[in-house]
Amino acid sequence: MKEKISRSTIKKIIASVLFVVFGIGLLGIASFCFTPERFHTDSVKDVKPYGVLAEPENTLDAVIFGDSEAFSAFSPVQMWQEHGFTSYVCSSASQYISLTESFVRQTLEHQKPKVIFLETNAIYRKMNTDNPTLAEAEKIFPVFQYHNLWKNLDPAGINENEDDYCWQDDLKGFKYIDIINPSRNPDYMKKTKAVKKVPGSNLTHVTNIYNLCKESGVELVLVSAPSTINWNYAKHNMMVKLSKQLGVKYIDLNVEKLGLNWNHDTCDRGDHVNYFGATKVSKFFGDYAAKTFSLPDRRKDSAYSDWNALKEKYDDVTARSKTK
Amino acid sequence: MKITSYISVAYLAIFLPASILLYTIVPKKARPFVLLTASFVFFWFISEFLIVYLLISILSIYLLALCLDKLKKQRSAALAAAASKEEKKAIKSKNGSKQLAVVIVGVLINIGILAVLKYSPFLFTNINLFFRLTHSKLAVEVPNFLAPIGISFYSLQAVSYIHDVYKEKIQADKNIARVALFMSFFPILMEGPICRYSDTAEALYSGERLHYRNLTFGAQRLAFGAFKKIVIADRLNIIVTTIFKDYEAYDFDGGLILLGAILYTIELYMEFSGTIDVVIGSGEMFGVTIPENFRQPFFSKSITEFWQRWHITLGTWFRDYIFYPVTMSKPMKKLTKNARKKLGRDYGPMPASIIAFFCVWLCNGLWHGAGWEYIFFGMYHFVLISLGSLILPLSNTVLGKLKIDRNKWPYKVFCIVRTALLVCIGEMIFNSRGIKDSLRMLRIMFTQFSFKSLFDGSILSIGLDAYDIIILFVAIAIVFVVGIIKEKGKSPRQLIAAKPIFVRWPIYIGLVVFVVVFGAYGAGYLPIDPIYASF
Repeated sequence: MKEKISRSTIKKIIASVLFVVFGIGLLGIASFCFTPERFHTDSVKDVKPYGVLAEPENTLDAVIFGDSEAFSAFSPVQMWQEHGFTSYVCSSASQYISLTESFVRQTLEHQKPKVIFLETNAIYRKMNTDNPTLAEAEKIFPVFQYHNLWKNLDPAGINENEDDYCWQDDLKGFKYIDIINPSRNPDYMKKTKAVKKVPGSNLTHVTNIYNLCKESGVELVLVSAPSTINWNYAKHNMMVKLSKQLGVKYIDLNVEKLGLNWNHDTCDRGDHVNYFGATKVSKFFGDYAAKTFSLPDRRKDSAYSDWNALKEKYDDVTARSKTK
Repeated sequence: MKITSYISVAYLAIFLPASILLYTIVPKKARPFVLLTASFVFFWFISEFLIVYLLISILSIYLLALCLDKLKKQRSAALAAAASKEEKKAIKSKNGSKQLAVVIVGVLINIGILAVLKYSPFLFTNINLFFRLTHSKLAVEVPNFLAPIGISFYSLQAVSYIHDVYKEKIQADKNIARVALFMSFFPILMEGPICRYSDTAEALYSGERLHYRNLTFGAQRLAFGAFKKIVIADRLNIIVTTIFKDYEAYDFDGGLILLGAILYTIELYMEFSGTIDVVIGSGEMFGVTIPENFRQPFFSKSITEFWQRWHITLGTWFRDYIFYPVTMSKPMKKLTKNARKKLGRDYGPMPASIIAFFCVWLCNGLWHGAGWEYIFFGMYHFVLISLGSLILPLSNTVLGKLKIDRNKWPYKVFCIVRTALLVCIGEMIFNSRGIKDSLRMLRIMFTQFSFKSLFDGSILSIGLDAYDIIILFVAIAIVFVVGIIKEKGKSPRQLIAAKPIFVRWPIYIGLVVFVVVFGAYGAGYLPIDPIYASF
């Protein structure tokens, strides 16, 4: 009887181990299939930030990282048209600062921009144990990071050269939104001496990003996009303090005179700026970036003719705004 | 470590496996203490120092139950020694009053903490509103308390324990560790279900060893819960958030608002029942049977039946601790007696029932949140259920005259669809940003109803693409089929377990891979917090 029980136990242990091995094997196969290098398609809607990885090597003068505040506010194509420098907004909705760090690391493997802008809203996003744990799991099984590419699992669309990322975003990471939904608190930047602390281990990730930039000889700049819901003076004070600690520049677009009309220039009551607000933000920010960091004007450089060709596509996408 | 949901890497990959491992390696006597320690640590992870409120609740019900036990023994001894009937009556009355006072103290402590932490800001805001409306210069400061996650669940468990000891349904427990474990078992802390002492306390404290079958069956339920939450609820959240937040900016018509209401109801069901699957699966792994909280609610043929299948443990709590005590109270009995004389047998008990329903649905609305929209949500169901009771005799007569058979499938389908639509409208009120917003959405739904935006492609411009919609259809169909199997009284897990390994394993592994690949997580998706944990 005793022998029978132990045999059955061994059988169960073997079954469990085999089950786990099969599961891990399948995750491995899925990870092999789901990597952004394998796709060249223009319909990867949810993975705009990965487009930065497909930009030709060392062609970006500036890269902006952050969450939805970044992709709503900064339009690289507009800044190209007005100043002639190349940039990309590598951001996704509710991006955690741990993911931003991962994107900065991957971007710097292919690009050597003059400046990297870190939009500060993501710095305040509270993380739980899942974020760093998932980030570690993503390193072993990339399927956790790139799983959403299943939408483009078309054998004809699979890239033969596994090392090259192919999908490029025509808006360079910017998200066009023309909805108008007025803000209810346009006077949100009320001066205070209060300082809003950054939660948990987020500062460690900011320091890691700073170190990554330093190692690559890239200047890091903190930038706060306008938001009547997400931003306030206490956060501004903290970012001033943080920028001094790190020895980096900080520009808060919430206190600059951009000419924003919060009754018209926001799509969600002040949470994000819409296309109309983004146009004003990008005009001001483009001026600031071009002058402060002496970013080159490449509009006449034939090597960057692709960027000139983007104008037509950009106009097509933004044409709807003219009716509003 | 911070745990924000049961369906998270922190819980599923770290906390639960670590607890199982510890539970396995310690001797039988120490196992309940492993569970208790894990539960307190878990509570610390979700609410930190607010654990003090949980400890107050545990200590209060433990001591008050012992006090009740002592009073009951004193009564028995005094009754045995009493000589006359009058003397016995006096002892019963005096002792009964003392026992009632103990119960009231228990309710006041536990519901009092809940009321102060959760409802005082709402109360004070409304007092200020009243002052403003009456042009008074008076104003009170609105407090801003931090309430521990899950307080609405464990407070009701505390009241049920005291009440059940008082009613002699259970004995007062002399072991404080067992009472503490009943109150704080980590899988039920955040989102329930609301357990009774007689359901779980013994099994939790027994320290039974882990069984292979329990572990595998529990893990299967965990995976299915994660499937519902990550693949369906988190994906639906994108479109639901847009519809509820920006319906005015997008200028949606009534058809899309109704779709938003239906999709939110599905999201809520998938999120809450998915979490409950993880909760019950976790309990199953330790050999503890946690009561079911859902029984295919969308197969309900009436609102009353819906609430017997949705959040079952909350419904039964309100039934046992509010509905019955109100209907069985002396004034209500008197009311029923008088009403029977005037209204007859059919309608006689209705006034008392309607008053009790009103109390239940007011509490139900308030339990879900401190806001007028929640009270409106409760009153909506109160009106539907009361109307249902009032028109039942009339509808029976009409159906009889029209020769419509209630037991035939066309009528059943009609009832199921009608109930589901009424539930969706209720959930729309529930998810709105306030009472004004819910009324505005209802107005658009009924006055600007059109199917235009459902078919003109607008639906694909608010967050989900055609691929997402296909995945949603497939995933909801899987949940629907599982529901049908359960509705027929069969267990899908047992049916699969009976299949050969080359059928079983692809199903299990396929489910996990499905969640990993088609789950709505990572870049581009907004992670949603557990909806019911905030109640």
